[in-house]
Amino acid sequence: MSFSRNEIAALVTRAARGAGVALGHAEDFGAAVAQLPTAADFESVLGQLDGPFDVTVAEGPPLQLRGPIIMILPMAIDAILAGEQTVVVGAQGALAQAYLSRAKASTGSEMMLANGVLRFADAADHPLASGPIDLPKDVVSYLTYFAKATYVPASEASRLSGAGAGLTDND
Amino acid sequence: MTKILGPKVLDARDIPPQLPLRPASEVMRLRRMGAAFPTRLSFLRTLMRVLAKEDVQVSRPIWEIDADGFGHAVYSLNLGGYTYSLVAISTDLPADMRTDRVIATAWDTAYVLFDGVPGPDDIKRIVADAPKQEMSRYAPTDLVLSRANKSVRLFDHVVSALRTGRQPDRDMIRDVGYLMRTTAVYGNGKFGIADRARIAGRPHLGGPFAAEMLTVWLIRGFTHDLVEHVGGGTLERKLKRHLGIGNSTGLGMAPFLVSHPLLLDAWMQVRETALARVRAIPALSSNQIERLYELTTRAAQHLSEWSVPDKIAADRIDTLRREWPMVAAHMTPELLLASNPMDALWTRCCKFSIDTQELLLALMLESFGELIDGLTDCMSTPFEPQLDPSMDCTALSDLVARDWDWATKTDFEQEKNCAQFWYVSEEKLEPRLGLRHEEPGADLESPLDIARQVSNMAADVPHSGSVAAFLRKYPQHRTAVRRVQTLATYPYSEIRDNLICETCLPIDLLRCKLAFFGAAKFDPKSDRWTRITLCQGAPLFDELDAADDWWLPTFET
Repeated sequence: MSFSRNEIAALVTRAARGAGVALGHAEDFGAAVAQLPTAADFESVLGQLDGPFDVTVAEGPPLQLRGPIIMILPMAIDAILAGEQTVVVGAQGALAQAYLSRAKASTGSEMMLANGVLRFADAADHPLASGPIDLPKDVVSYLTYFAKATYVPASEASRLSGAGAGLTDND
Repeated sequence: MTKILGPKVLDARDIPPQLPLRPASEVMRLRRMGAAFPTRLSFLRTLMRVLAKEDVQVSRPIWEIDADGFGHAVYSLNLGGYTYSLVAISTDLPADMRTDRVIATAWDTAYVLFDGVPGPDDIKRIVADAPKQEMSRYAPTDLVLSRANKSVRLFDHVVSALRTGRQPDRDMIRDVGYLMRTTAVYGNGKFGIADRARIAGRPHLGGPFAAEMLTVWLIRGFTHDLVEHVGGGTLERKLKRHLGIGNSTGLGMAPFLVSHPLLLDAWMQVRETALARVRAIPALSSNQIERLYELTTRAAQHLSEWSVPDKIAADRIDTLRREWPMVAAHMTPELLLASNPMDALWTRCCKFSIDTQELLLALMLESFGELIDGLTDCMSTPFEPQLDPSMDCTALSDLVARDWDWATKTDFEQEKNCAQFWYVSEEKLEPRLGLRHEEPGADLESPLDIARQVSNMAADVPHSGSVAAFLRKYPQHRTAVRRVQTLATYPYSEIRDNLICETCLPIDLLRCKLAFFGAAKFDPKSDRWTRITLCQGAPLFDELDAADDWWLPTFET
């Protein structure tokens, strides 16, 4: 099933919210996932919303963050932009790189993640992804499962209070 | 010796003078946003000027509509080196299935704006899928997806009249103003259609909602062709021009203004800059004065033709009708021939209601296209809100104190201040607004409670350290911090009202966005549902040479 990048960002953000992730981290996760270059890369999303979302912080130096990517990558990028020389995150892979792509697009800052350590880089290859993607079915199912958790169950009362309720449109 | 000229450098002589912009604390209040009128800077007006300038020709290469009005058609045009085609599908809809709500499952008509010229396979696919709307998936060549329902009474009346060789009743045309109402116009990647990025860099489609407005204008033309086809006659041109496209708008549009703060800021900054430029005009020519009088009279006529059943809206229209002659009375030759006449007029009329002020704003912009139309290039933005994690927490607190007292001074423990909650229903994902203390679902609230989020964040900000360190400890405040920092740079990015309080009227959000689209004749059916008319008075397909004088069109124009 083909998805636009905007649709991916919206679905992933909603799914993260449904999983109980803090809003700002859900938004950043949606923006990052929408940057994954290939359909195969989206398999890295599986499991990211399972929780828990606790983060262990050791202020260091160097600052060390342990926890799920959805929480620690934004924190690590924040720390670099706020003046940390390096941040130990232990994260790697396409999803982590997608966060760096977003960071470069939004701040102009090049960062590099190597051997689980994040730092500024002189240059790094983080092109922005574009164009629709055929998402793997299991990824769509995974995200949809969590996104549904944000929907309020239908009820007659809810329907009756909705916009346009009680009116005729045959006029 | 040959003098080599370098690039022209803008200096103060190139930038028109302007007065200070109205402050965001005044402009970004729901009540004022909900009083907005369409202006010449609206997206539809901008598009029409472009179509005229580019001498766009609309063709209709396919018309496979049966005698009863069912089937499909294709309209095509070339714009900026690209071809765009509207594929329109008309189906037989039983009356008991006709609803404008999001929960509808069938419609009278469905549409796709296609990127290019659709081949037979494309048309076959779209004819099969578009009537299913959200229940189907679309291709990246599909730019916009839409649907529309008939204004049944008027459509049937026009058909009957044409079949007997007559023109339809003019009062009905005037009072309804459209043959069909769109109930959704989807763009930017929804349901698999193209991301906006596919067209944003193309000539003339980079403006906000340009593709959607093009779609609506083409749909309007289709509705004219359809009714003439079924009726077997031709509508009088003036009647046809008065038939725009209706639209039923509910809560789906409301969250957009909250979730796109930089875009909102861009729209507002452009409009306020335009007002500031017009107010700074040092003197008026006699032609400009005549034009002002003409438009003032037209606005009065428009108000007289604008009748709605909703009491709040009707009261506001009554106020406008009462105050507008007083505005006109200020427009004496003495004032308009003096120096700085537009600022003098504006200043004298600030005593009138918010609704009258906003109508006057739209009037004042209308005559000065050469001065302000170029500003519309600034109404789209490629930027997204950014977090500055290096900011010191003290500076963050200072921003909250400076810009957010309207949020932090609110006691959200009081029931009235959190009486409502926004949510998405499982039922066809319809956005709804609930009463927190009376119905379930608030635990699944959509995050439109910006004021409360910032207020909660402000209570946890420490007196030292970086934002990065603060958010490591309090990740739940990430969005709130981003919004506070964004507002510091983009002052019109935030609606400075509590969107979950008992007095919040969602319709104020709807009207603001719709006015920027170019909608008029707001006809609220409740505090969260309104009908409007787009393209009323707009040029027909073959009238683009007279494309720009249709602000607040009246039946007699």
